[in-house]
Amino acid sequence: MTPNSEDEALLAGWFAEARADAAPPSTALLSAILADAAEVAAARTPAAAAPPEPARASWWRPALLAPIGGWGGLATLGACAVVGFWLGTAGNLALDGTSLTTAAAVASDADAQGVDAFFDYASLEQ
Amino acid sequence: MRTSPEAAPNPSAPSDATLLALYAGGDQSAARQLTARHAPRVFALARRMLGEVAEAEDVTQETMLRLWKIAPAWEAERAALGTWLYRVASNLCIDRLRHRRSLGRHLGRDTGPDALPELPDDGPGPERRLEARDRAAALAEALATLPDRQRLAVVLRHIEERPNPEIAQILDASVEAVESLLARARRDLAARLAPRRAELGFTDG
Repeated sequence: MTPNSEDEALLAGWFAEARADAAPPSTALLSAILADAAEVAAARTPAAAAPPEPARASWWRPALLAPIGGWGGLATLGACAVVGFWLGTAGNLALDGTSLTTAAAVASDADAQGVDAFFDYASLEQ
Repeated sequence: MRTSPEAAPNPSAPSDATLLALYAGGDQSAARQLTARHAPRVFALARRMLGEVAEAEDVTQETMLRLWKIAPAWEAERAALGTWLYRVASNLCIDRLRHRRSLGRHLGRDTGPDALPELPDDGPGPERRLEARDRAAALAEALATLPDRQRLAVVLRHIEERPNPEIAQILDASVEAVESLLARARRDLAARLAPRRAELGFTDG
């Protein structure tokens, strides 16, 4: 028998008692270990529960639309602009005859009174 | 002889690698099975190495936490899970022992006879129970005098009953180096404990 195996034989009883004295881990420790497992798993999964990223809000839309009553106001304004443009274009065409007639009448008055008379009247005002 | 930690408790039980894959996929019941299978062994090693229940619990929780974190990347062919856990726990224990020495404290707070748990009343008589407690305390004190790696080798070989090749993996050493560590450790332990055999009630080998 070698010295090492003598040592081993001498210590065998001590080691056997130590093996028999195996205390199990406490339930508190086991619970803490499982809580860690759940926490690590939750941190690993994609953030499905996280709220979706909100649509980027534009600062200029509310700032511009609020004074005119929002989208409804803008639609009304647009309709008015279209009608105004139509009236403007159609009105010029309809008034073409009138405006020409009026211009001719003014011109004939000027001819009748004479440009000189006009200037004479102006000098009297001074 | 207790079952090997890497062996499944019964043939129909899932392997460690299977349980780790299930846990990585979100199955918490796999975590429960892994904890039941491995935490008691990690705790036993830490308690023997540190001599303190509270510190052994911290080491056990930290070791298992590292397992949870590495689970998705676990490679079954890399190492047996039991060996990997023993290795992580061993390194954590040695770190704590070094820190303890830096504070000038060598023994664990739970190694004295008064700190040992009460033995059940239905066991041997009071005198023999006291002797058993004293022997456990004497062994813990003798283990605490060994260098860290010698203590680790003795606990793994003679209390946790791990084979030398596995201990070599845990210690990152050769089998010959483990045998040398064990021989020196046993010689020191025998020298310390032999004179107390009669005093502590050992009457034969």
